[in-house]
Amino acid sequence: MSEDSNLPLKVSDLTVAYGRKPVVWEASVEFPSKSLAAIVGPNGAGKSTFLKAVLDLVPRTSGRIEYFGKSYATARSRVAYVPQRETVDWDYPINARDVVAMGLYRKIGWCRWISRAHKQKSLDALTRVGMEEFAERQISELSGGQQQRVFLARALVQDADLYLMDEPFAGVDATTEKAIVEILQALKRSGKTVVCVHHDLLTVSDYFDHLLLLNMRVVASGPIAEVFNVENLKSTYGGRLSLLSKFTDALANKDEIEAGG
Amino acid sequence: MDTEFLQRFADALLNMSYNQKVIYLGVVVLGAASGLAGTFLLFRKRSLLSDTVSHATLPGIAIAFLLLHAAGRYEKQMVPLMIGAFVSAWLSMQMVRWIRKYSRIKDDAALAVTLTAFYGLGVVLRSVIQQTPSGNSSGLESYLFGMVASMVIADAYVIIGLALVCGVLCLLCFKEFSLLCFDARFAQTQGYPTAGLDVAIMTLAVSVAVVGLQSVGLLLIMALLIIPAVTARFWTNHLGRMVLIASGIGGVSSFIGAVISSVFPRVPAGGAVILSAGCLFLFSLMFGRTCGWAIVVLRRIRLQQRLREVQFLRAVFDTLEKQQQIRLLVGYEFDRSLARTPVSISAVVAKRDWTDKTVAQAAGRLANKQHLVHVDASSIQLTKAGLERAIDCARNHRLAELYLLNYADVAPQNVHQYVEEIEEVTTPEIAADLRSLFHDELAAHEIPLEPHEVR
Amino acid sequence: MNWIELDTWIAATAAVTAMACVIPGLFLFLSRQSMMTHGVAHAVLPGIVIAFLITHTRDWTGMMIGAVLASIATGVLTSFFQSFGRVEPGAALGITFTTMFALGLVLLRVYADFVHIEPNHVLYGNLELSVLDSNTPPPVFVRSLFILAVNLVLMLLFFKELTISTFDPELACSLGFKPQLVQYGIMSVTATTAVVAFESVGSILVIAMMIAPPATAYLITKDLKKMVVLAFLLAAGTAFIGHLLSIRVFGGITGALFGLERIGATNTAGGISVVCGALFLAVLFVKRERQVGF
Repeated sequence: MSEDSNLPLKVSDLTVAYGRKPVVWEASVEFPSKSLAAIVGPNGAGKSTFLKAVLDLVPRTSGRIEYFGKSYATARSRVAYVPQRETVDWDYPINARDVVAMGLYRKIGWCRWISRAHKQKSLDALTRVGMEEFAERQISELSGGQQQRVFLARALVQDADLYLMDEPFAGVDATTEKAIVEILQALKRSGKTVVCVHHDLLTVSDYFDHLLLLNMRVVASGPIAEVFNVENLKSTYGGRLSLLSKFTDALANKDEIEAGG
Repeated sequence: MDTEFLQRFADALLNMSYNQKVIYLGVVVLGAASGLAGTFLLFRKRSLLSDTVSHATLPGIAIAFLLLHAAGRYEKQMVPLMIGAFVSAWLSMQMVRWIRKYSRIKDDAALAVTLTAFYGLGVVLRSVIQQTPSGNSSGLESYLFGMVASMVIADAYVIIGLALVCGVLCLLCFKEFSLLCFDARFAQTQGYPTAGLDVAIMTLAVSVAVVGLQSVGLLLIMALLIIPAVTARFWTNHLGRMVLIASGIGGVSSFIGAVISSVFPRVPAGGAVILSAGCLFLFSLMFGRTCGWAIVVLRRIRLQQRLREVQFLRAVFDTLEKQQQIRLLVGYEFDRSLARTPVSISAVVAKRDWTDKTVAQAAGRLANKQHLVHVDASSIQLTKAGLERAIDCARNHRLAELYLLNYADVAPQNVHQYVEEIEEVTTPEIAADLRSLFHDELAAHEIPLEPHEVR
Repeated sequence: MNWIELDTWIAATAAVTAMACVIPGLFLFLSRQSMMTHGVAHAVLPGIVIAFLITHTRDWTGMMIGAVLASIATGVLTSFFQSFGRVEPGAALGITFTTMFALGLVLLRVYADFVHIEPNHVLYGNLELSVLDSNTPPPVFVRSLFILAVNLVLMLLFFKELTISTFDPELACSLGFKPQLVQYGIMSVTATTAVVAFESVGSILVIAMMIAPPATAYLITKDLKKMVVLAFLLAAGTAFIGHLLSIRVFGGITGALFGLERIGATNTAGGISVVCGALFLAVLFVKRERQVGF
């Protein structure tokens, strides 16, 4: 077994561009096994895009992604993704348990129906996030924090080894935040790896043990004790990189400049 | 065969009677008005509302017809039928708003349910009308498919009048409408009655739909409200111009459709009008000025050309720099007096994977711009303007490389490639930013040294 | 007028067609593409006409293939205009289907001597005439039943995939399902259903039945499976009520209102649409809840 096969996620030279506008510039980063990692950076730094590109949800301009030393297509079953809450229609006529069961669909396979065992599994996942009493509730009747917990349960039911989460703490109440942190730590204890896009600098060092500072390019990454310092934060959030975004804006507007010039 | 067609076209265009001229004018004005209303509808993201309201005219027409019938008026009368159409279309619009206001049903379903409810009622009433003695001569069928040929001059006057009213309303409220389209929240904070303005825009669309039934038919009038507006977007990004262009496209496609339909009696007017509008749309998608396919390709080619020019100039500059043999550790003042010496093209091209053809093309273009002159077949010489441009290009290029190396941690082996991408987009503003960022370095030396080894 | 055996066949055909329509309609409704039903129902016209011009017969296979190809073309063109021309989704659909319909209409008129499709027939349907057949049960009923069975099997097989693709396409993608494929599947089914329904009930009822019962059911229940069952019941129920009202009530009412005599049965497809719409509005009135932001 090669050394790489223990590495849950290895990103090499990842560049992503929307149209002509580069959003992530040649990011190379590794997330070690059994870590609880945060991706931190200012607004528009490409954090969500980074995650989506890693998951093949947006096309990559360049770069190689390896999960446990394999491609995403082969390692898919070992990876679970929790998208931002706004991405789905919460008025959809479906209850919490059925949303959680969606995490199992791939395992069930095309054309086959959900069995009682699958339903039980979904219920167990809901119990783990403290939502068992809301299993039959239609999803629009849940609060923001509860909806987030349902999404978390949907990832848990996939029983993956690597969890990628996009802003799991966005718009949730303090109790939910605490509950989610506990779940994440429990995941870590059981040997899983979690990578979260996070926006709150105050709680980073409390919740996480590994950090990726991202502002279109990788500013720093590593164990939180080594990386989380004023100097790195300054270069992540500081003004010197603003010119970089001007470059990318200009790249995106190439056509217009050309037409005008 | 061909001459016969040409003859018929010529007849349709040249030997028009006065009545025909007025009718054609009516059709054109209608197309223009629909382009106008459609533009606002497009920006309110309500294009498909035109679909619903045009179908919803049917029950109104039928009820008006039945009322006329009950009052003993059996001949076809346009104005009452149009009033009926307008009222029911307007009610359908209100129903869509009401559904949105009081349920979680989204726009698309609200439009679909309203459409079928109204149209279904229209179908029921139509089957009643067919059972009345005058039912089959009601002319209702022309409302479905549009019959320019069966229009009378009075109809055309009505169309022209109503279209003009729509146009004037648009001109009067242009400022308010565009504000609503751009930023409804802001309009609200400014104290505009946004709901009222919204209804006004939709009423505009309803009016055009009702007026247009006669020529294009209710199944296709919505296309006139959608296609010209979208087509116009390929030609301009300016709302005012877009309204004008959309009106023009609406007018032209209506005219072409009407002519085709009169030359080939079998071709229904509505179909011909929409097909010509559709062709204009496809043409614009291909060749439109703002984001048409051809223009995007053309721009890419032009960009490539300019990039080659800049690269060529920089290569010339590098060669001159070498000739001056003052590659010191820091930047330096460039000796302009020495720079205007002939340079051999082979020295410039050395180490670059350019073909002879691209080199010749780039040099040719630069010669046309009088940035260089060909001394003989194998060497060139920069002009004064050319030299300044070359110095500028080289400086910007090196500053950008410095920036990426020092501040963006881009790997040295990739710097060159990125800057090649960036350099042509280096606007004066970005160049100024770069200069102020490296102010100290530039104060000492006009041109910084190449921060990495030339490949 | 009295309800006779023929009326039972008319109402049964309408009910079966309506239930077949509910299946693709429901998922288009849930993925917020209700107007796609209208688009597909119009856009299949050139497909049918061209198939007719090639085969020279009213051959069902040819017409079906033509319709499915036309509906897929609609989907492809709509998303092409959206992504390439940056056209707003509604407008992109509007452009595509109106232009295709116009093309169909022109082809139909130009080749009227070869193509025996009556546009009015397609629009309004003629249930009353189409069941008039010496055979019992009428062939049109059998065809509707067949398409209902096909749609039902497809829905039961792919229920999971349909749900996940319409609820969370991103998750579907990351799990390795193909939401785009599912979308084209839904559109193809919409097209085949529409073609079968044109013959009996006309294009207007196709759209009514595809969207109105799911929308009404959506107001009543928040559970997807209950919604499906309820939409079926509503579709079948409105078909019978609509036909009953068409032969007994509507003619009389309009006659009385406008002073007309001897008004007989009115168009059944239209009547069913009216009942669908009225039922939707009634439920909405009872269940109304003020939305914020309007």
